[in-house]
Amino acid sequence: MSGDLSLQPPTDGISSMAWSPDSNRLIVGSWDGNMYLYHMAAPPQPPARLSHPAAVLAVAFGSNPTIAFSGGLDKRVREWDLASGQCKVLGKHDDAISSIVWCAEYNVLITCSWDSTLKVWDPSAETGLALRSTHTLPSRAYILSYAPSSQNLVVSMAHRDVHVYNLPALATAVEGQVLEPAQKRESALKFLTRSLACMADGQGWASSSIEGRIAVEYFDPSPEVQASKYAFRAHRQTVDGADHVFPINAIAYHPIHNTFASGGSDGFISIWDHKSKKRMKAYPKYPTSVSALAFSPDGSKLAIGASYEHDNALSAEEQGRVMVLIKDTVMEDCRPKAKA
Amino acid sequence: MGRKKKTQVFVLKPWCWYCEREFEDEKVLLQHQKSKHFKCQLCPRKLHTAGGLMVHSQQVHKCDPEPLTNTLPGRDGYDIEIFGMEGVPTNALAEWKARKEGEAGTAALAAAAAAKRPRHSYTVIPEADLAATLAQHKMLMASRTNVSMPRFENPAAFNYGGAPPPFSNPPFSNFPPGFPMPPPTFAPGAPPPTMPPQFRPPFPPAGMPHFAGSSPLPPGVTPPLPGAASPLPPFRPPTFVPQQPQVALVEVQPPKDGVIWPDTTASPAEKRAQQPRYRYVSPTPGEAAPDAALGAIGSEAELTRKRKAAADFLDIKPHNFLVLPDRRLLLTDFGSAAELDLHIKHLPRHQCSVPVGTPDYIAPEILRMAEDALVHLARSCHSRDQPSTRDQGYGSDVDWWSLGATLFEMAVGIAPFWADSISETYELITNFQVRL
Repeated sequence: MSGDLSLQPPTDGISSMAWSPDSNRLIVGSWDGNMYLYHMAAPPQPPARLSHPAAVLAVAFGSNPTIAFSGGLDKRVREWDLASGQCKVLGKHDDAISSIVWCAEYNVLITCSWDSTLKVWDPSAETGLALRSTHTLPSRAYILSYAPSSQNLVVSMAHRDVHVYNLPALATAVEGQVLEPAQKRESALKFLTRSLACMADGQGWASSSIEGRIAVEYFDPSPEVQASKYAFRAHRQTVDGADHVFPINAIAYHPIHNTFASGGSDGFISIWDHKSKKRMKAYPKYPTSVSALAFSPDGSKLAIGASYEHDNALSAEEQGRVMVLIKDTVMEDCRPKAKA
Repeated sequence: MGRKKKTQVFVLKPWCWYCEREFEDEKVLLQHQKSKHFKCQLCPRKLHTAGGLMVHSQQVHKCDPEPLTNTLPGRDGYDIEIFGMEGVPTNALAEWKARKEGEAGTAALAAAAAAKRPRHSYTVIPEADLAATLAQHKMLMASRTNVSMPRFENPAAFNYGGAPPPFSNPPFSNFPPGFPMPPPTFAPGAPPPTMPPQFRPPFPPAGMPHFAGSSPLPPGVTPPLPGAASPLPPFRPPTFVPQQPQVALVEVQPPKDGVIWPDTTASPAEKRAQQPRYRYVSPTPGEAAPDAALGAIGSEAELTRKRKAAADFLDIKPHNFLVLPDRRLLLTDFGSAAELDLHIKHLPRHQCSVPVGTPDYIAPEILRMAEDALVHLARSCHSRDQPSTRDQGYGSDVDWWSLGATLFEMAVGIAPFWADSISETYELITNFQVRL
């Protein structure tokens, strides 16, 4: 915790974080119904606040650092012009929007929702015509993760469903077209998926469950590659002789070193190398659960959102803390160790 | 087995039906029955049952058996086949059980436990609980949509209409209940609002300390109202199920086997989104949901409108507000409303002798005036004079009190004067010190 840059936190839990493509701006979605915009300036500045009618669950930057997208419990997909603070509603889902990703190559925005659909939007289209296609999913969708290098989009859902979409097909699909996902899988973990992130090299993804476990899986369906997938236990503690198993709320891949950070409701952040199957770093405990993690695109900073996740992990008096921290030592911390 | 446990769980000991003796052990009971009751009087033979003894007598001694020995009068017959505790007539068993429970005092305890209202904490109710209650309530409402009238769980508890005290009906039922009865909304404590006219008994039954101290009756004069009310059982609202969050939709599972979030069907975020403070009300029509703050504004507006219509509503409580799909509030239940006009701001005193309203939301002046009326009535048993019709009673202010109590309940989750019994609630209301 020492050495982390602390920013003025939101007033309620942190749901999501995203970095601008130039790594100079950070947006944080919060349960207090606001999206906070932080500028990485020398003395930390108070954030700009962009208000929503309900809790914000998902945020994403567009190709341009002045364009951001948000979605949340109000079910609406919003496009924000961060320079003016104006927002435009692109359209809506039938339930809360749980995750948003921006695909710069195709200039499309992809959203998923608890209404069990995936929607593809074209923000450049005229007002009211932004929706490009809707895809029905088997369960409520929780997490989207996009691997630009292999153009795969992973959708993680309730009931451990995982779909992999091929982005060119998804981006060009038209409304009404039934697009089969490239792969339909079941999570390698036995419990509800809590977080998921694609590898920086696009070979696969790491997912974490509510039951303190992380799985590493690969896109390549060939049996020999699939045989190399594995899972391991993490974010567990033994308190008074009893094993406590915490949800792992956040996973983020370092964009350069292709190692990943995981953050759990136990308040710990660890850096893992999925190739050597080793933990490279364990940071000291944070005073509250880790809700969200995001590496800046240049790989120099890790944004840490710490707040109570309403998952029983903290006692009542600890639940009020909310922190937004920037760790700037990750370039070194995430560098894979040279093989001995 | 067989002794009273510390937890007051009453366990029946084995006992002999023939002589009503208790035993520690069924084995001993069998020994006892064999040697005391099923012993052949002609030979040393002991049998296991009365039937066995009869067959033995008839076949070995070729005679009809003697009546059973050492039994209570009337229990010496061979017609009932009893082996230990097996075969004891059920009515005898029930009788015995009741007797034993009475002796152990558990019957009284059990009755008291059943009659006691569940303990309510006055702390702020966690939002998860509120959400659970709401979801539960919605389910309840959904299941009741085709039932026109709310059903009572315990109709016997509401038999006040059947044995009315002398002036049970309010003298000013000017407005027939023109609105359909709203189903009960906020479950805790308040009985269903369909009983004419007071729904909860207007006063605690005779002997309640609140009135015993405050009506100085001359000896020999029977106070009319308590006298009339005394045959009624002490009123207790039906024991309702404590508001346990039963709806899996909202309930957060406690950690299990060390797993902090054992729920594999929904993410913490989904559960969290169901909490009242995160609830999002879509501005599109048809998707509205009740909202406490909105309700407050709306109800004040409605009340003012009601005031313009010059009527005293007198029964404002959460149950009587209906939320329309367009998020306006509808006030219902005018069964106890009284007509006022712009010149007559208060009811005449003689119309204020009976408390009307729902105990948790009733204003102190209503109670005070009803109490005064009681005292007056007791005193005037001889003189027969009526309370002066020119005296002023209470006015529309009582509605503001009720609205305040309603808003308090909406904000805090419990009625402001909630107590274990109605008389305590009344006492809290009358003794309430206004501090602003």
